[in-house]
Amino acid sequence: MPDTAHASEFMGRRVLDSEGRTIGRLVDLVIGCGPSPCVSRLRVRTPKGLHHIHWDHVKASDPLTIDPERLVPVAGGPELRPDELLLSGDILDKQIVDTQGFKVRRVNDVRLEKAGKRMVVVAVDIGLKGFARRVGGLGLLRLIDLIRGRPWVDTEIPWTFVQPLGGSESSLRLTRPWPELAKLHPADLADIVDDLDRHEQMALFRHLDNDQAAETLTNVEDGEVQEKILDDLGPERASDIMEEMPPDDAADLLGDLPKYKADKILGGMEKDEAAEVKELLGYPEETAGGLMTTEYIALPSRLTCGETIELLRQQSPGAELIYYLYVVDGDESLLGVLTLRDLIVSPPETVISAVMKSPAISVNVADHQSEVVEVMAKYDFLAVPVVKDDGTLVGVVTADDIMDVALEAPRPLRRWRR
Amino acid sequence: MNRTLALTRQRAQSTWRNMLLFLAVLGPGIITAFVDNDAGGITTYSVAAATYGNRILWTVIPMTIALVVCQEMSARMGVITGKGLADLIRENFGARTTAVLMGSLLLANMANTVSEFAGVAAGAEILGIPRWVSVPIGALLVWMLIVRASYRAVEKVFLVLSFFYIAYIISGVMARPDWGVVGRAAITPNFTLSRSYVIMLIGLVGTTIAPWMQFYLQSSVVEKRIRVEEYRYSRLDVIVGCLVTDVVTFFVLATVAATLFTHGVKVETARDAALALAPLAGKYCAVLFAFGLMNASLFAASVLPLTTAYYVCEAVGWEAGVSRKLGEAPVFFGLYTAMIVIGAAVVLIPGAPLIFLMLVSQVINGLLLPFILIFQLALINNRRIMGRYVNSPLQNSVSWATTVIMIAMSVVLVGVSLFPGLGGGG
Repeated sequence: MPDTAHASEFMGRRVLDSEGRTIGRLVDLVIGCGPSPCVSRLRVRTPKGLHHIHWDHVKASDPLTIDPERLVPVAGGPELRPDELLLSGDILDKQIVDTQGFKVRRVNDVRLEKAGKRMVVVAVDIGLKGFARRVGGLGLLRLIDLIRGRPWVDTEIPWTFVQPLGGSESSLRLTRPWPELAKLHPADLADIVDDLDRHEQMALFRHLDNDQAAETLTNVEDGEVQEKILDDLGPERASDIMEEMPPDDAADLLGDLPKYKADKILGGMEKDEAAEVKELLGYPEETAGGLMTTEYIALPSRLTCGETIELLRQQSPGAELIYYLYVVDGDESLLGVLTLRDLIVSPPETVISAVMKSPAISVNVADHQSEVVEVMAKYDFLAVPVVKDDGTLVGVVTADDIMDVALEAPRPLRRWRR
Repeated sequence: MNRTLALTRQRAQSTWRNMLLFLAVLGPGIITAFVDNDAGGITTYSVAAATYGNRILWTVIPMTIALVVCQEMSARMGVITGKGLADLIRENFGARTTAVLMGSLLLANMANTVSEFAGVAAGAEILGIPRWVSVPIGALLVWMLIVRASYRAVEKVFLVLSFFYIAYIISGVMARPDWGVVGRAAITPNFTLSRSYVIMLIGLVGTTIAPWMQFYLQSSVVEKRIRVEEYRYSRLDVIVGCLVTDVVTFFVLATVAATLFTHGVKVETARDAALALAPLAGKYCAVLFAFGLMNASLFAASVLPLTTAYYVCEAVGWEAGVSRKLGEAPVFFGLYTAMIVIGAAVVLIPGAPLIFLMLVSQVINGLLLPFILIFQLALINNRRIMGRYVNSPLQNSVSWATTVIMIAMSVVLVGVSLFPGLGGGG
């Protein structure tokens, strides 16, 4: 057997006994998915049906010679173990997740390498060359090589970065390795989610905890895809996930849903969180109110810097941004703003109203998002407070919420593509 | 009293909700069915009706049934599997089968696209716009639509274009056929055992169900993420699409039959038909007919390259989809662009063999359709893939019957296209 080989070279090969008589044809390779996935058994179709034979009973690989006594019929015997894969049935021609490039790819071929006595799966081929090898079009590719003056290289993904998704037939067996995907960053997961089909998306979300699911869902770019996933997850799970989201993201998502669905999800959420989201839903999407989050830190002006630091430490607030602390009076009117820096460098006994910047620059809830962008760009703010007409602080718009608006602004045509 | 009121309101609400749900899934079925009445289709209908008059009208109902059956399967597979047809074929029949299939479809659709741009040129020229203006502008519009717009926007434009098919209905009314005669002809099967009549029948059916339609519908159902619970609306979308489309077909046939056939005018192309309508049914009728042709051709010219790019990419494993950004799916957009550019360019070549290209596309379509229908039937009856949504015995018998008839017709059509002698004279 050569040191390196492609799956395409094996499938359909004749299987012989020691006397050189044809016993059947090789239809698949069983891969044990250990740390080094190697060929554990061969699947051979003989006139008597499908059989397995252990790799140890393969006497030679070219021509493929086995000991026919060792063939085990597939029907009746144990099928595949949960950690086993069929190279052709589960991998070849199927879609996999490239966990390094965060993309869903279709497998054109699989490369195996000899390691000691075993054949180990090293990489999947997703390129045109693999496809050409499969369909017998390598000659054509060589012709193109001649014209181009350089050879066409293999496009491979190392097996370590491959997450099989499994076709419909093997999805049950393959749900096991999915938690591997859950280790990826939610932003990268979101890229993958877009490429998965509906069933795969649901399988993935089943393996994510609510927090991961919330972050992943927020990062999915296509609003329609977001809605559909939320819908598929069912109102109960959707409520749980929504509770983990910053209220502004939750409001953005719910705002796009039909009202009866949004109400159902809101109904399943904890009262406080639901109330915040509902309040945000009341503002038009393209205004400061529609962009803002209600999670911010507001402090009464009589606190000292020391007390404030102690308070922050005790309560460890869940606000997105704790760099800016807003100072309010009894009516929640915005008096001034205090940075974390001001707080730390001031003597502990100083009253915060003495160190805060006042009046604080703010925007009105009804201001258009472009004005918010302008204010933030002008003053280099990471966040800007949002007030009502009477001066009450109702929320903050953070830089990450405004980023998409800022990026889109100069190219109106981009709006077509979300 | 109060209870009745509440009940009524509830019912009204759910009707309203059903309406909304239907509108939400509406699109793929209607669009696919409409593209069916493209340049090739209108040409075939015009020639058929000019030659045989009302005798050909009865075919519309059986054609509609066949169309609904085939399209419903595509939509169902898209909804249940969430995958395109090319995806499913690749995963279940391997790379080699897929490559052969994709290669032929690419070839056929390239030729189809050329004929669509020929239709744009013909329609525009009747309206007084020279082809070197209409074809490049049409090509650019079509290209921009997909590359710059989102799926939602594309679908809206397509739905608006579908609306313009009403031009054919209006021109049908303006041609003043005898509706009583037309109505009777529609439900009276009429066989003439002449070779050329049989061939015309085959041509009519052949243009009704094309291989690419099966791929396009399934892909757009997937891209729209229609779900099992919404499936009944999606099926309604397919059925409404097929019905409305065949109403258009019916009107085209009736228009031409009432005018050109009655006066014994023979035509060879849709352009001939539109031009010949003017003295017989009035100038506006002819203009509307030409406008319809141009609209249909533009419509198909954007859908055909789109679907081709879709399934070739799906099958080989390249990124595809109109909602992707240009850099994410270079092959998808590359293929799409190349087909439009080549399609438009060929029409602008003086003396290009357009009729020959139309013939070639028809032959490949005819050769491919049986394979695709058989693949579809194999997939849709596979419980592993479709679960409990496999074909029912009734669906199977209707779809197998359709497939067998389509195969028989395609075989004859291909034979006749390759050896015109078989068809005998006129």
